[in-house]
Amino acid sequence: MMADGSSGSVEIRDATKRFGGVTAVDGVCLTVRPGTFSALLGPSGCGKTTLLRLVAGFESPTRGSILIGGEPMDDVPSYRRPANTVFQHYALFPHMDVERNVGYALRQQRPRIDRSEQRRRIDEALELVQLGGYGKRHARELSGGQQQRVALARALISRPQVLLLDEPLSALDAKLRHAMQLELKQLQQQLGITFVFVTHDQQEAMSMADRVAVMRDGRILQEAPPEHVYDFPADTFVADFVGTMNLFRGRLVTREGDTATVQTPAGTKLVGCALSHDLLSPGQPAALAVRPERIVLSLGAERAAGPSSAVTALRAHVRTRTFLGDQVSYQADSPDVGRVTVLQARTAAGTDGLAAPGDQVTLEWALDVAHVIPDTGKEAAEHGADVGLNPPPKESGR
Amino acid sequence: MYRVMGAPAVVWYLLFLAAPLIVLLVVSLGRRSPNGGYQPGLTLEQYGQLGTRWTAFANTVELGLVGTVVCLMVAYPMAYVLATRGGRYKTILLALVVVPFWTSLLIRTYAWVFLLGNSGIPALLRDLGIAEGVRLLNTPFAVVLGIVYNYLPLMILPIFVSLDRIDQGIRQASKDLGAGPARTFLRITLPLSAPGIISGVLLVFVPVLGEYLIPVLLGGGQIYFLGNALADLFFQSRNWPFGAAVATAFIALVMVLIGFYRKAASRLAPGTEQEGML
Ligand SMILES: Nc1ncnc2c1ncn2[C@@H]1O[C@H](COP(=O)(O)OP(=O)(O)OP(=O)(O)O)[C@@H](O)[C@H]1O
Ligand SMILES: [Mg+2]
Repeated sequence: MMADGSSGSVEIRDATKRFGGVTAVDGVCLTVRPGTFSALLGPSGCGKTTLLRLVAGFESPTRGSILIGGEPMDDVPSYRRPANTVFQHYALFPHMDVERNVGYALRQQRPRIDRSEQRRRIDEALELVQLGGYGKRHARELSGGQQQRVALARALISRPQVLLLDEPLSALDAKLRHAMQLELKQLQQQLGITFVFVTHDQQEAMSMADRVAVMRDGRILQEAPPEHVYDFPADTFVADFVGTMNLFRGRLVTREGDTATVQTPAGTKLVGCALSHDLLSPGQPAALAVRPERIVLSLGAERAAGPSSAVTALRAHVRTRTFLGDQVSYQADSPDVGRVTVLQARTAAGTDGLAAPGDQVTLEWALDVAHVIPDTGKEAAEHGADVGLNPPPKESGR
Repeated sequence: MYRVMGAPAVVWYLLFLAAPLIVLLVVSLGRRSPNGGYQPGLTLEQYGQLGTRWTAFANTVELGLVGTVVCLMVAYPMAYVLATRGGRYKTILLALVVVPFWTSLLIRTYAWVFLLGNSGIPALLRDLGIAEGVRLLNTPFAVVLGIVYNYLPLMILPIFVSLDRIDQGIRQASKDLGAGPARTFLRITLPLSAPGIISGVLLVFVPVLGEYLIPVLLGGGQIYFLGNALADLFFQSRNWPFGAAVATAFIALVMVLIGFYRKAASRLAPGTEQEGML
């Protein structure tokens, strides 16, 4: 491994990949800093796998270039790139046992690594993924989770600068998946290797990654730490894809510095913070986005926070209440903005003090939790008109 | 239920496999009657003269092996290209491989008689001034060519199937882990296609051993296979017991060869027996 500062970095410069008429990756620029855990997040078919394969060297970009560790990879074939891949379906070598699978990369290195050293590193790699003692097993005698670990050990043994993981957990059941998420994260921190992780599961991306890049139609819409993506989504697509979001769609009325006003089709004017540089011209499609847990719901027409210009208050009536254990979720209808989702922490046992379906309530939120963002269309919103719920995780069967 | 459904198979085997073999064995222990045919007896004297047909044995095994190996060397690259580069034309290209089989073996082989004969390729070579007096027909070369030409599809198909089954991701994983194209071929593709090679070799070698037509047409009596020797023994000299002895000895030899082959193959590609490739 190189010792300079750029070892382990990945730089994608304006990369485009076309397959015939399909543009799978469209002018992507992305810099992954050494030793970080990055997630590529997006719906099925948005080009995540293709982008990863460009980095691995299985595809060459139609335009643009890839740098790993500061070195241009244009003419470097996949077998000379300092990046290894964990494939979605593991791609273990079926004619080799676990040991020979894991040691494969070592046997390819020239000058040769002597046998005792290979032995030592294979054992070390198997220990690392908690498969000590499984060396003589055959790949087909392992469970999905164990095969996953073998694939991981096999890719890590040659100490690549970068590890590329393409939905490595999607074939596992939910429980194992959560365990593996934690393990992967720990492994990455322990080894300090750069991980680039592809997933269409926003929860997975949020919980594991240092930085999340949200993709759509071959482009990266936003690249930021997960908290930032959650709190300050770049547009309605990101807002909708990541977590649950109330989106009140309309048109931009005014923009003054960091505040902007949106007018809904019903004529309601809503004020929120505006960070986007793409939100300048009045009349353009925009939406006010508020997270359900940021909305305060109180019974009756009383305002909980008292009258204030920094607070938006709406009247609504409750349609449904859903018990979620530590939280309660409401669907409420407001004459001004339509359907609103509200999430309330439960502070007491039972249903005392909770609104019930049919109740009149007041919904309030502070100015700084409401964001005016560009409205990029509703393709991702498969649910209600005004309430964006994250799409159900699709099993990607490739 | 299974017993009832298995009955036809049992009858078939008894009638067309076991019974003829027993007849063959019994006849091989008899004597030639003075004017040809079979005279009952219980003697091993027919087996004593097996040595007189040694050339036919040797020719069959030698040219059969050479033919099979050349067949493999031609078939493997073809199957490889079909399986890995065929794209959406894969099935069409594969079907084209089988198309020559739509004409009869006799006609296909006869065509080669003209091509290899004196007014065929040798004449062409002479007229082009490349080589003078080349003889192709009635040589071992012609026989091997006939074998390769006629049996190629039997080699290509199983190899194609085993290559086609290899997940593209596995080859990519190999390259990803530092193995170049050559090493990926040797360490991944070749071993994983071993079951196809093993069954292809068997599918070609065994019927070639019983070949009769190709040596007759392309070997012109100079190159004598066991099948030709047997035809002579039964139809010309009408020495049935000796013919039966030669046939029995040959069957035994083939079984021994296949036995060794299976052993070697299962060591080369473990797990192939379970997959029913042998
Ligand atoms: N080899 C190929 N030939 C033609 N089109 C391709 C090829 N690979 C990908 N595509 C197309 O490029 C687009 C992006 O595909 P890609 O596999 O990168 O998506 P993805 O984000 O990984 O999706 P998923 O979550 O379903 O795996 C798709 O429209 C796909 O059909
Ligand atoms: Mg994919």
